[in-house]
Amino acid sequence: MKAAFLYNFANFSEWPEATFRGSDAPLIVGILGEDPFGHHLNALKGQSVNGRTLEIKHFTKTEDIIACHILFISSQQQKHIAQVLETLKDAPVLTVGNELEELRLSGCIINFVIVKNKIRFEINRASAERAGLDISSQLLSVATVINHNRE
Amino acid sequence: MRRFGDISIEHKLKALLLLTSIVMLLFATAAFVANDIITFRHALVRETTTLADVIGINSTAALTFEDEKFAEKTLAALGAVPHVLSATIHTQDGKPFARYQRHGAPENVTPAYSVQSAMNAHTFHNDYLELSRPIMLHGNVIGTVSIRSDLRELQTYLQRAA
Repeated sequence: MKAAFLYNFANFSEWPEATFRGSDAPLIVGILGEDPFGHHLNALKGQSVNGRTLEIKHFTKTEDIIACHILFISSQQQKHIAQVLETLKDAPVLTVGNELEELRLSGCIINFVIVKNKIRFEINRASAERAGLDISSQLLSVATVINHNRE
Repeated sequence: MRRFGDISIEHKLKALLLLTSIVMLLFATAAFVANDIITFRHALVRETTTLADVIGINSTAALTFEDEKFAEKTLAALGAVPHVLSATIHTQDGKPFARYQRHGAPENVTPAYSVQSAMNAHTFHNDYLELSRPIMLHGNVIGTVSIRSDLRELQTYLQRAA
């Protein structure tokens, strides 16, 4: 489920054209740390998002992170979030946390939460704006939206 | 009573003219009413199609992220349209996802799902129109929205015309 959501975040977000190497360049989803999705993520490989194919990259450490459009930060890597965001320096990367305690403090853009046994998500609009990402109002309408700037 | 043959030519002609006028008038009225019915049906299909498309566009995220509550909120906006009896959003595989029923509308007016109705289709029944439109996301069908509209406006008009 979360893997499908991750893919669909791409369907409802827009990145600056410059983040793609060309008009048919892939949309890259990075997974930092342990991959909790297993084969669900593999099923998404090669899927098309708004005319681009989806590519999956795995990073074991913060230093390994290279250009990607979505970055999922696994629970194990959560203690390194500050470092990750420091590395990204407000680059247009849609950062997704996994059930973080406080999205507003983390600086991530999206956070998966479990509400009444269902997967829902929070979006920090201020973080998205700072990263230069355009998140569709449709996506915001089904999310819990917060608007908090990190000091 | 006088036979037709006994009547003067003048009166015969007058009667003939009168009869012709009455027949023409009846034909014209029938044509006007028929034209009005066709126009009304076209307008209703067009309006319901627009409503279905607006609902569809506003339900893409709700369908994608399985948020039935938000889909129901979107459908509830149909409450502002008096002729909409009920509406349902179905997922791509035909499962009911969210529904709306006008307050006071009879039970069981939620459109039944069928594969045929999954695409653009509309059917006029005795007292309602049923219309379905696909819900698209980046060119892919992710669900359908079906709306039932009553024909009360047309019925009122016909009663007045009768």
